[in-house]
Amino acid sequence: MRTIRPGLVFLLLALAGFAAAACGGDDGDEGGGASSIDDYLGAQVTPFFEKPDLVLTDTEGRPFDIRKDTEGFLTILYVGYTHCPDICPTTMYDISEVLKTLTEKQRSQIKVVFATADPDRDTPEVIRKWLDHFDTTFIGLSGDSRQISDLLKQLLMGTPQRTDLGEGNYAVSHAAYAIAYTKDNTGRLVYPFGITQDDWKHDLPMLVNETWK
Amino acid sequence: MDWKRWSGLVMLGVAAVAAVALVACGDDDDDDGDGAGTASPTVAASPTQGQVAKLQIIDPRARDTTNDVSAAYFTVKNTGDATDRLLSVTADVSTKVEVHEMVMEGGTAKMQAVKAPLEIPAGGELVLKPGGYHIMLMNLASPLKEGQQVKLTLTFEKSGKIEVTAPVKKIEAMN
Repeated sequence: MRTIRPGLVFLLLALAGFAAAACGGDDGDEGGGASSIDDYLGAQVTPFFEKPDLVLTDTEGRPFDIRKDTEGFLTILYVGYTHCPDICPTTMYDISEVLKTLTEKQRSQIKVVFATADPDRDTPEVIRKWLDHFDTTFIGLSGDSRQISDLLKQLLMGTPQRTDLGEGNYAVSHAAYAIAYTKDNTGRLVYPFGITQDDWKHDLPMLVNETWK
Repeated sequence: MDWKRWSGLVMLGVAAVAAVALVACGDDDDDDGDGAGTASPTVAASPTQGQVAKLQIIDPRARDTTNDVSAAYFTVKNTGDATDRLLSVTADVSTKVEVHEMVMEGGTAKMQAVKAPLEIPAGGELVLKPGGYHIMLMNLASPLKEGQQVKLTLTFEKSGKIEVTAPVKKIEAMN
């Protein structure tokens, strides 16, 4: 299993500190991506993630082909569950707030995709209601347990572990990071738990234009 | 997996970011409106002589939600000279309340009930916040809405019961 290197995350977050200290707010850069992957505050993953090759169901009940239906967009993929009281809503909220700070042009090139790790409770309707709380354009995907296992396998995320909380309640383990797939369909950066809105604000405008040339 | 080290480093990194950004920029982009410092603290003194825990509950708040689970957060400050422990929490909106923590295993987040009561050391504080310790509110009769108020009863080992009112707020940011 691939893991994020802790030292690297620390280093990148420390870099975030310096970037913030310099107050460099060049969000408006529409010219291209970063000059180096090291300019990003997200954590680098090597080798990079491939976009999952899978058709799930969106919140309208329609088939959603993850590769085909996100082609040409900067795609932020997060796997979580709607009964998650803490880090899932925090992550979705942070992303939704930062998207509001982008230009219309930048915003129109981004798709945010939430896929459930808890298909038993997360029906399309439940996911829609939850996502609308953050951003009505967020895409929500569900499927049967076999499809979700397939998704998690392709993302190297492992099987979700349930923790029984009693009286029918349970928690579900899930990856604590969002994957950013640039328009070339490669996921070279992940945004682990602990990333702030300012970090997203720093990276997204560059990611929109990134070609990794 | 060396998740302890991983999460420790992440947190350290976050702290570094926060510290540097705070010192250098005075960035006013944050609009999470968590209103820290505006809540009136609730003070309780332990009745025992000598070593006393003196607790203040600061900025209690709960998240708004669309379903039957939510989280509440607060900071407990102990200005006394004895350690206290948070034994249990109840809430008027929920029939099932637990103190939870988020633990990292590799890159996986797992939420679970804390294994032992959380400590508030003498002269120290206990912080519950997004991505860390939180009060898990389950079996909500109806989703919590912004503007609503939740009554929390915190039971401490030394200080006994402290009641606080936690306003329901728009979900706040990681910062």
